[in-house]
Amino acid sequence: MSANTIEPLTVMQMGGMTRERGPAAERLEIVDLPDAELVARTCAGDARAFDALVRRHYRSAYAVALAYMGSRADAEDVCHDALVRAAERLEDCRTPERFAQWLCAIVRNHARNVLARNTVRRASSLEHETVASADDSARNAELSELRVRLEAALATLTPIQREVVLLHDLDGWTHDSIAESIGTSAGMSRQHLFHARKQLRALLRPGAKETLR
Amino acid sequence: MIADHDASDVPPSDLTPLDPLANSGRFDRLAQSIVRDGMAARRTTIVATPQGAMAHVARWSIPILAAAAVVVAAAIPMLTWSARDLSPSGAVATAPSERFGLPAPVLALTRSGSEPTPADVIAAFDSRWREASR
Repeated sequence: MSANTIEPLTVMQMGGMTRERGPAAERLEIVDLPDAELVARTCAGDARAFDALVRRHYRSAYAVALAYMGSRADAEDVCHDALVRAAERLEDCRTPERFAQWLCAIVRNHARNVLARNTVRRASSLEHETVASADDSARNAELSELRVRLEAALATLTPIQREVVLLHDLDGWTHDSIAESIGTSAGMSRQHLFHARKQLRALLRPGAKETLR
Repeated sequence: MIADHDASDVPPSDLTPLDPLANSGRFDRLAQSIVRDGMAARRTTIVATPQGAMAHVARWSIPILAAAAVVVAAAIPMLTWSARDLSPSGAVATAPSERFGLPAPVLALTRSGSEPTPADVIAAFDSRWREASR
């Protein structure tokens, strides 16, 4: 599960360098800390610890948010608000070693509330901030098309199938962790993954392009 | 009956286009904005919540008051019962003031209707203390 993985970007930033004392070295040490320690440090006011928690668990939070919201922009908004809310109520996290499950519950509740209110703020200007080169534009257009197809295919699944397939195949959660997080059995999680994968493959195969439009 | 499907029979689709961490620059900005807003929200919450010794006192005051109320409620019948048993005449005290062991001269003063002088009050209590010390 992602709770025990180190955010790859941070490791890449330090790749090939010896561990020296300094901001980067300190950050590397922080990303090595377990969730419970990061939660305790954040409660004591350490912003770098919260940064490490965000980077470690953002993908999980995003997977849950995307399962409910269906679009990248809405999922990012829900993630932002849920993580800010989590920071605010961090003292309520009674089992900080299971921070990921606690965070996903907050994301899930917030996504449900947003859907109920149906007042999703559209994505911030981040989407359009990057000034891209011609190559980047072509690549971005391709990625964007793939993303649209994936989102359309995911939309045909049930919310629970989406959550299972995203947590498992996007963030590498185990069935036991997924089952604990969504309140079902590991066997049912396998079932959901099987059906979700089968349907996604059918909808994303080259000839099925028109089906999703 | 649900068939025991094995998800590994179906290979996963490539979900990397949906990975929020794929664009590192964009993700950095997202993470920074969350950390900034999250820590600001924490500071606001901490300011809004009373901290320190007064917060501890406030947190404990309600359970302590509740416990004190229970003790008082339990003590009143017991005091009443013991006051009756300790009554020197052996008679059952009926008036509330008698139940709490107020001496007869003091009761007489309260019932007399006239305003007692401080010396009268001291004398009335003094008679009780002399009685008790015998």
